[in-house]
Parts: sequence; C-alpha cells; structure tokens
Amino acid sequence: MRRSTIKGLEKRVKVVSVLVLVIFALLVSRLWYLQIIKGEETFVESSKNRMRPIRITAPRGNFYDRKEQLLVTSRISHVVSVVPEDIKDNPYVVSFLCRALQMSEEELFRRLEEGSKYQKDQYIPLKRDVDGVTIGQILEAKLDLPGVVVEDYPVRSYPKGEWAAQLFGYLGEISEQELARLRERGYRLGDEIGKMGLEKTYDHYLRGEEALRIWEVDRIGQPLRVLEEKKYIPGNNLHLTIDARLQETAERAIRDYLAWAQAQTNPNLNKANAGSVIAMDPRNGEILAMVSYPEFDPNLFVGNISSQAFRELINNPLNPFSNRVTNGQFMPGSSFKPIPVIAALEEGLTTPEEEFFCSGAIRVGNRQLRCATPAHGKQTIIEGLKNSCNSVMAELAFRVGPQKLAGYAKLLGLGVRSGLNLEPVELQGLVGDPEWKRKERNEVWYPMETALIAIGQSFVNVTPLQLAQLYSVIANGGTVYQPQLVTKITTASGETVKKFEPRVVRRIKLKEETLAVVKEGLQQVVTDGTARYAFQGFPLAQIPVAGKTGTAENPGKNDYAFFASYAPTDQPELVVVVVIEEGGFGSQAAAPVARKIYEAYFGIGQEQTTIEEASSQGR
Amino acid sequence: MWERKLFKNIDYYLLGSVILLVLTGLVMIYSATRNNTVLTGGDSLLLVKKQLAAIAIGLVGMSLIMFSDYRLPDLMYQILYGLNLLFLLLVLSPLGMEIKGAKSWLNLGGPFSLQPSEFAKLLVILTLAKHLAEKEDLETFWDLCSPFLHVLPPLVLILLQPDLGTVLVFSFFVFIMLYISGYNSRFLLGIILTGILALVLLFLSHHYFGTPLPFKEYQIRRMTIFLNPDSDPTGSGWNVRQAIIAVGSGRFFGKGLFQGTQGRLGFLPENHTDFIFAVLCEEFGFVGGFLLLSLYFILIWRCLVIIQQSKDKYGTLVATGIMAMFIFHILENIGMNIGIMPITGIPLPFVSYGGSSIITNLLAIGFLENIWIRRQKLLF
Repeated sequence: MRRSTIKGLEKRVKVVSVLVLVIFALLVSRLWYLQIIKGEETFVESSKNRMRPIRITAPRGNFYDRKEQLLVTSRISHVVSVVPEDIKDNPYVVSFLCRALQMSEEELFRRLEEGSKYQKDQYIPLKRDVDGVTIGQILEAKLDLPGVVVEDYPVRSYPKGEWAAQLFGYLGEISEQELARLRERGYRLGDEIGKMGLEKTYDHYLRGEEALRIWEVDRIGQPLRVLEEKKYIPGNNLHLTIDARLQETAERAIRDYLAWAQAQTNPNLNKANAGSVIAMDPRNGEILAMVSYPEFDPNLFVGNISSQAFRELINNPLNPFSNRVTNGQFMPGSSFKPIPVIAALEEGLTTPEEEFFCSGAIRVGNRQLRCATPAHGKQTIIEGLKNSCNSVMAELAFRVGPQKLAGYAKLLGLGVRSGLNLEPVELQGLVGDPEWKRKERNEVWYPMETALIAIGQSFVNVTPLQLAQLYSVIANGGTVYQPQLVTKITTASGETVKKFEPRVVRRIKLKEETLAVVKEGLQQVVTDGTARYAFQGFPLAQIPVAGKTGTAENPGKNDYAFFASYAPTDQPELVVVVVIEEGGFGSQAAAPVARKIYEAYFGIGQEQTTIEEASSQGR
Repeated sequence: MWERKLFKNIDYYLLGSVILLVLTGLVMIYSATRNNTVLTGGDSLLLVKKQLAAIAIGLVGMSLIMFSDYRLPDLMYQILYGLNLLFLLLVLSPLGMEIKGAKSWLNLGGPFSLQPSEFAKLLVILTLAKHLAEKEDLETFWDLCSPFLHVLPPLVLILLQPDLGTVLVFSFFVFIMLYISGYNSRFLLGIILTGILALVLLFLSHHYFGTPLPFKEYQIRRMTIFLNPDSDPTGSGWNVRQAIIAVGSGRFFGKGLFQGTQGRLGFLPENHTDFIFAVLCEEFGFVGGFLLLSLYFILIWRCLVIIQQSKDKYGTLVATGIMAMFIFHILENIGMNIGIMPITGIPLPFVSYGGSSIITNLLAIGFLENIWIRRQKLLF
C-alpha cells in the first residue's frame, strides 16, 4: 500500500501529468509542422542562406585577320564582385570599397540596387579590370570584407587601339532593353555585350559560356570554400577577311592625308576632317580594309570608361561612333557616271563610236546645267567618262529615261542594301525616279532632275560600301557578291563552327562591248583624266588602275571628295573606294589615299611617294 | 549486501535516459563547435573536454547524493540557504562577470567559471521543500505567505543580474511545488492572475503615462520578438528565424551528422548552448527531435512516478520541484528553438553546453534516485 502524507496527492499529480502531456504534445506537433509540413520550404531557405553563386565571364573569342594575325584578344585581369545583401548594411565594407575602387557611395549603392533587383543572394560585378595594387589592398583586408570576392576576369583587349574601331565595335554592360530581349538566351544583368560592329553582330558566338562557381559563405558572407564549379567554355574566334597590312595602310593614309590637308592654307582643303576607306576583293566580295575616321579606342570601354572620356566621344560633332563606310550617305557626284553609260549601251541607245557635243552647259527648259570651261566639244562616251563630261551623261540619261536609269543603278548595287552582316545595319541609300518622287513627295519629276541624277546629284545617296559594290560589279564583269567580313568561326581549340563561302546575290548579263567601253573610260581617267596627277609615277604599265573621281556638293559645307576604283584593269583583284569629307576635289583628296592602298597591296615603291607629294601633284 | 540492494533499487529508466541525453549532448556540442575556432582556439574537442570534466564532477556528486540519505539535518538547510544567498550576492559584487548583459558568472580562475543561479534552483527546491514539508496544516495567513518570503530573497538577487529566464523557472517550480503540497488551487490561481494583471498595468501605465519599466528595452524585444520574427529579421528576430530555418530544413531524416550548415557557418549563434536543439534537428531531422523528446518524456514520467512513490512529503516535494524545473527548461528551451517561446538564455537540460547547468542537473538526478531508492522504509 502506498502511503501519502499529502491530501489528494494523486489527483494533483494527475493534473500536473496532464499539463506535462500537453507540453509534449505541443512541442511534437510544432516540430512536425516545421520539419514535415514546412520542411521543403525551409530547406531551400537554408541553402540560400549559405550559397552564393558567382558567374565568371568566359574569355571572349579572338579576331584574326586573313593571314591569322591576331587583331583582338583578351587578357586576364580582375573583377571585384560583391553580394549586395551581405555588404549593404556593413558601413566598413562600403567605405573601404569606395576608397579602394574610387567610387562614390551613391554610385556603389546604385550598382547594388541594380544588382539586387534580379540576384539578391549572388555576387554581382562591382568593378571590372581593377589594377593590381588595388586588388592587393582588397586581398590583404579580405578577412574584414565579408561579401566581397576577387576573381580572375578576362578583359577585352584591342592591341591596335584606334584601329578599325567601328568595324570591331566595343563592349559595354548590358542595358535594360538588351536584357529584356536577350534574357531567354542566357544573358544576365552585369554581362558585357558587344555594342556595335563585329562585337555586336557575332556576340552570341564570341561570348562563350560563363563559368559558374558556388561559394559557401558563413553568416557574415565570408566565402569559405567552393561547393560547385562549372568551367567556362571560351568564346569562338572570328577569322576575318580583313588584311591587317592593308588596313594599317588605309588607317595611316587617311590620317596622313587629313593631317596634311589641315595644315594647308587653301580654304578648300584645310577643312577636311573625316573620311572613309573600303577595300574589297571584286572576285568574292571579301572586305580587306574598312576605315571610318574619326575613330575611338575600344580599349576605353573596357572595364569602366571614365565619364569624361565618354562625354568627349559622344559630344564630338563628327560622331566617331558612326561607321561611315556603311552608315555614311553622300551624293556620289561623278563616281555615279558609269551608270548612265552602262544603261545607254545596254539599252542600245548609243554606240562607242557615237560622237556627242559638249557646249560647256546644257539647257533644260529654263534651267541650265554647267559643264566645263572651256567646253569639251566633240567627244565619244569613253572620252565623256575620262573627262567626266556632264553634257554627255545628261544626254545619255535623257535617252534612257529616269525610271530605267534608277533601275540600272539598283541592279548594280546602288540604292539597295548589300547584305553585309554588320551592326549597325548599313543604310539603304537612294536612287530617285519619278515614281519614287510621286510616292514620297507627291511631286512631279522635272527633266532637269534626270540630268542631275546622271551626274550623281540631287536624289542620289550612296554609302561608300555601295560604291564599292558598283565598282566590283564593273570590275568582275557583272557579278554582285554579298560583301563578307568573316570567313569562318572556330572554337578555341580550332574546330570550325561555321564557314562563310562567297555568296552571289545576282549575275547581270552585260554586253562585252558595254564592259569594254566603261573599263576603257575608267582606265583613261587614271592615265589621262582627272586622276592622272594623283597616279603620276605609279607603274600603271604593270598595274593598270581604273577609277573615277567625284566631287559632291554638300550644302553649307565644303565639297566631299570621292575616288572609286579597281586594279589591275585586265584582271581586277582589288576595289578601293575613298571618301574625304569636306576634302574638296576627289582627284586631289581621295585618289592619293587610294593610291597608297594599291601600292601596299601590289607591293610597289611605297618609299617613293609620300602622301604630300601625291596630293600636291593632284593640284 | 547493503550496497547490492541499493544498486538493485536504482531507477534505471531514469538513469538510462539521462545518460543517453548526456551522450547526445556531447555529440551535438562537438558538431556545433568543432569548426568554431574562435570558441575552441583550434582544438575542436575543447568544449567537449570541458563539458566532460563537468559531467565527471556531476556524476561524482550524483553518486554521493544517491548513496546518502536525502534528509539532511535541519541546520544543514539553513547553511545551504545562506550559502545560496552568499553566492548570489557575490555574483553581483565586483567579483561577478558580465556576459551578454547579465551578471551571472563567478570567475574561478583560468577557463573555469561558475553560474550560481543554476545551483540556486536546486538549493531553493531543497530548502523550500523542507520548509513546506514542516507545515502540517495550511490555515494561517502566515502559512500561506511564508513560502513566498522564503523564495523572495534569492529571486530578487537573480532578478538583479538580470536573468529573467531563471526567474521564470523559479516561479514555475515554486507554484507547482505549492500546488502539489496541497495549497488551495484558487489561491494559487489568484496569485498568478494578480501577477499577470500587475504586469499588464505596468505596461499600460508605461505606454500611457510614461512610468519607468523595471526591464530594459532589449529584454522586452527579446521576449516578444518570437511572436513575429520577420518584423526585424536581421536584428532581434535573427536568432528565432535562423533557429526555425535550421529546425525546418532538417526535414524528416535530417542533413546527417556534421552536415548541418546553419550552425557551422555561423547563421545560428549560441548553437552549442541555447540553440543546440536546432543543431540536432537540422542534422537528425524530425526523427532526432522526436527521439530526444521521447528521452525527456521518460525522464519526466519517472519524476512523476517518484513524486507519488516517495516515502515522505519532503521527498515528494523535492521530486516535484526537480520535475517542474526540468519540464520548464524543456518547454522554454525547445520552445524558443521552434519559435513558440520567447528567447531567454535557458539551457536544454543535460544537452546544452554549460558546466554549472549539467552539474546541477546531475545532482538533481542524484536526489531523485535517492528518493526512489529509499521509497520503502522497510528496506532499511
């Protein structure tokens, strides 16, 4: 028998036992709720707590010229990345980073805010291409800088600097709009992306696949070890049609010419300030050189461009970002003149023997179009081309009619896009005709406008690329190729990913006679015509050059100088088009630049003629 | 002969569950601290070793108590009561050490320190049980009030540290002891309600008239944050949130021994003391948490049996006090790990790191066993 000295002990112990049971039931059911019902949810939360993914950019693909010379590459630098969540409330880290990276606090917080919009618990790049001294400072203080890591970072490098800048393009951080468009294709905030040129056009091939590293961090965000790592795949390489030597020549020639011209006292010359060069192989459409001046140094945009340098570029009235070869539109002036000749001969409206008469001006209605003083007098179409006679061209145009004239121009590559794959997309240009004028402007066509078109004025706008297309078609006897910049794309280990063969857009059946006449006329321009001074001393016997100078009026500015050409005339290998903005006469400004390129290409006597000599001879 | 009988009469359920709890504690302390070089100074076993030393002391003490009579001479109670007050006063003197805002420790030199408020629980249980056992009836006003006066001095001293958690433990076991000793339930309920009313009035008057509160603001925040930890997830809500994440992310089977991340990476602070249950639940899941609760259930169940089997009122009341102390510690500590109780620095009995706590608890087990062994007068 149990004894109890306390009254009602058993009842009271029962009450306490019930209390105990309630407590245990409460604890077990809460445990069940947290671990079984909410378990998965909290498990994810605990993983997020400690994992900090970081994306590491893959080295971008290289650019090579047609002889495998390295043009654009990447070098290894460092990027400082931070987890916004881990550093934003840590004033020590914030002030340390501001000091070390020379950022204002607002700038830093702006970047954190941008970053945490999408990737709260991830490392985001705070500053790229940080110099070694700063990296040393940060690594030394590493233990006091939770939430900060320094990673290797491949930095784009353009060893040639201000060289084919618009062609290569530059890199910048992806914008909101680009991100919205490209998110599906794996682009992320903070990525660098090609902003123009080949960098933009082939960005998808060039960027490769980024590495992913997942850091395990402790409570304060100090990285402890790498939990998982996926290696990067380097970007693919671009093998260009560009010939580095020829590009270098073109770059130098246009700078030399502009420097020379600006030093002159002649007001027709010394305002020259911009220009473009394109050299193309008429046998396949491969572009060997492409210069648009003024340029910029794409290295400026690597890492973090200073806003000062950027403002200067943006505010430059000559717009260094514009690729004048594809996006500069000009009235072509006399370089248009092969078109009326080809059209009239093809249509059988004239013969090589027919003699035209130039009285120094032509009268259409009550308006007058001036030609040369003294008048050219009697001449054939070949002589008309050589002398760049407006009267002959106007007469031919009248015979063909404006509609057909525009048709031939478009067939031969003017007023239509060439199909060159390069960002920004080339301009279409314009060759007007009566139907166009009625549709676009609701105006009637005046006969005088037919004559103006024939000499490359009024409703004609071409890009240097289109002029190169026209002279290629003449040079190769009627084949329109799609211009090419890339021959193949290869992986970092050298396997070919994609190969680009020459692509024929269309073949034009031109009469032997037509080609012979045009070619003869264009050759005489160089031997005896407007370009003869520029080519004085050039071994035309071995390397016969054919071409046409042009001087186009430009309201409010000095005339633009053109020279469109090819060589050798019998079996053309190279087409060169040069435009010097506000350069005055084509014969004086543009042809000497082209000559330098031919000399480089054919490897002749470069040391003998300086640009100054060639230009002063052209005067 | 005498000793064999003694061993035969030991409550092995109780002892077994305690040993399993202590072993679990050692494993979890190792798991929680092995990578914490700030705490261990490079020796990943340092805290385990220190805990083992305390356990050894506790086991020796437990054995001594087990095999001697729990009924001490009257003078002894007065000495124990006096010693208790002395130590609690020493803590408040310049000899006391302040850790995290509470002056609760006495430095014994070197790495050893003592937390008198842990021992105070057991001492008050013993002296109060003696005090109550001597009352034959509970008729006079003095009879009703004297136990409170008995508890008041040590309670005030602990409140001064301030250690609110321990004060709560005291209040809990005092009321359970009074209830079991036969106090009128309505009287006890009345006191509890009055106490709550007084607190409410205190807060209302603070809110409306700006009268000062006897608590510091951080104490109030700590006590109430568990109701809505997301209101301040990086501040006072941090611990609760991280503990809940640790517990929940263990799911059914846990992440595996040493695989927990919340504690090891420092997301969960105090993971070897206050939040050791969360570490266990992260690594062993619901299974581990349930097994641990089962061990505690056995412990409490044996306490309830001993309460009823004691040969005298004193033994019943000592066992009651110890049972109440354990159950409150379990409820409060596990409760704050799973977000249903306010955060107070109360250890999990036998499992949390802490020498004073484990020694006190082992001594308490010694008393329980003692009462159990001597439940039948006839044996002696």
